[in-house]
Amino acid sequence: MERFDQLRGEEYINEWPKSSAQDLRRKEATLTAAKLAINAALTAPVAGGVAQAETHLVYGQEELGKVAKKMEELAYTNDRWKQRFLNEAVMVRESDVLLFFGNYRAHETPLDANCGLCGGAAGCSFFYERSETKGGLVDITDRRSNTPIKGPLCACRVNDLGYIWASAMWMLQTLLVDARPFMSVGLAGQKLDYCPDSAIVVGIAASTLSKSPYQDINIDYHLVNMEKMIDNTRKNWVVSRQTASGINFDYRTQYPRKQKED
Amino acid sequence: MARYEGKEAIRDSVLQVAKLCAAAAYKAPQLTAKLEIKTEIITGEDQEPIIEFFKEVSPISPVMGFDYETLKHFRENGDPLVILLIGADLTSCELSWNCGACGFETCAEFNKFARANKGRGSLWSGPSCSWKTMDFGAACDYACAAAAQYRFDCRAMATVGAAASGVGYLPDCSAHIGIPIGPAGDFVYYSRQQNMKKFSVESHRENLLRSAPTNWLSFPGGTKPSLKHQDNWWAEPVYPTFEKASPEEMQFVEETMAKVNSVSEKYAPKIAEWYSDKK
Repeated sequence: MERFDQLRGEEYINEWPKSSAQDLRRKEATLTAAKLAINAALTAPVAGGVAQAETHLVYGQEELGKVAKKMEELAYTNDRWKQRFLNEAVMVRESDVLLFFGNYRAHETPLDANCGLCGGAAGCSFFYERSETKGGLVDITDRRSNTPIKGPLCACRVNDLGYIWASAMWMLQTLLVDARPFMSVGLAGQKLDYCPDSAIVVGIAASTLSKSPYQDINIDYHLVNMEKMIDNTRKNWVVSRQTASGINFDYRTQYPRKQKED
Repeated sequence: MARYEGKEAIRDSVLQVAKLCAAAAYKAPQLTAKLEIKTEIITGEDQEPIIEFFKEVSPISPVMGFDYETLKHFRENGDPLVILLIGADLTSCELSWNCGACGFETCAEFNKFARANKGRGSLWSGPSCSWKTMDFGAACDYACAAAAQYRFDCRAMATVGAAASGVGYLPDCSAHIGIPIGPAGDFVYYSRQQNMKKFSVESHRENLLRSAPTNWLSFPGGTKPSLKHQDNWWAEPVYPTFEKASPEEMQFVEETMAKVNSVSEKYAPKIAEWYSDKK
């Protein structure tokens, strides 16, 4: 019974200051929720119940910063997604944890059911005629590509990936964890070799802050956000102390007072 | 004071849950923020065209045969069953992400190909934008998760979606999933007790041998292993062979599909009428 005497303690939890012990306790719980979400994703209904998902859990300031930087790099490769990627990189920096979900069958071991989703009436021929194959086996070793993702992919497997990350989202939302799935996070994660065997990757960012990082995004968000605000305060306030007041008296012996009216 | 017999009360609740599942499908998070899904809840006699479609196609599709037996049983038994149909058009892409996942270098090329070649495979139509395809999956997933939260069994079925679109439901969509919800019970779409008598043990064994022969292969060193098809398999060896479908089989497929098409033709005008009335 002694072990129950060990089961006592006090844990202070507060999201502020950022990355303090009390904040990291909060983040640890988000991480637990993220692990449950990954388990939910692995039980998602998929065609034939065939295992096809690989997942990566990524957390820590440096690790998230690396993904955000990759998103910013990718932002400048396409005008149509530039603003979106830049906004979402801010969200990643504010998040507690990233969940990556990839499908490792979509490019190599398709459903082979002639379902028609990838190319229509021609069934699986759409996929096979545009892939490197030998006797029905797909050779994926030539990974060179002119596009960010090397297609074509088995659309049925891609569809299944939707069920997979959505099940993770359902679990996170059920646990009242703020979360959103992103193409941008997934693409950056794929370029950083998360879910290394997958042809297509989706990233979910999750957090448990008082204000969800994924809603109410103002204009020029990559320039005007909480981190920038705080940093600008750090940058300016030290100067303001000196120039606006502090340098002009010795606080130990003096204190400016109202001049007497007479 | 009103009293309700439980099983009768479930008739209302299964429909109510299907409505909530439809709402959940719209609540599903999206990667594109562009996909428009369509949903319909099909009840009562409006399920008959789907079941009849299953019946005609089942001689050439055992999977549809299983689903036919299941849905027919629930209908004949008067069990509360509704079908939530979710559809979307995935064959156009306005994203301009040019990601390449669909197999084309740009979304413009994809759209051009889609306009000229859009067509239907065995279950769905294509081609499909990969990101919209995932958003469609997410919508179906949320509907299923909602049903599960209410402890109603359901199953997302491409077969039901294909049958529904085959007879004309949700005509403007390229992808359809049918989610039968209810009747109340434990894993009614997995442990299908009522199907037991419809399929003999011999057919179970033969299906397994056909679809997973590796499990019953004898020593393959001679490069022509026999199949262990019976207890004394060595006495009358049988071998897996490669053969093209015979003319008779092809003719059977054609005849079966003609019957399937006649089901479509029988119901399509009436179902189309419902949509034109709504416009």
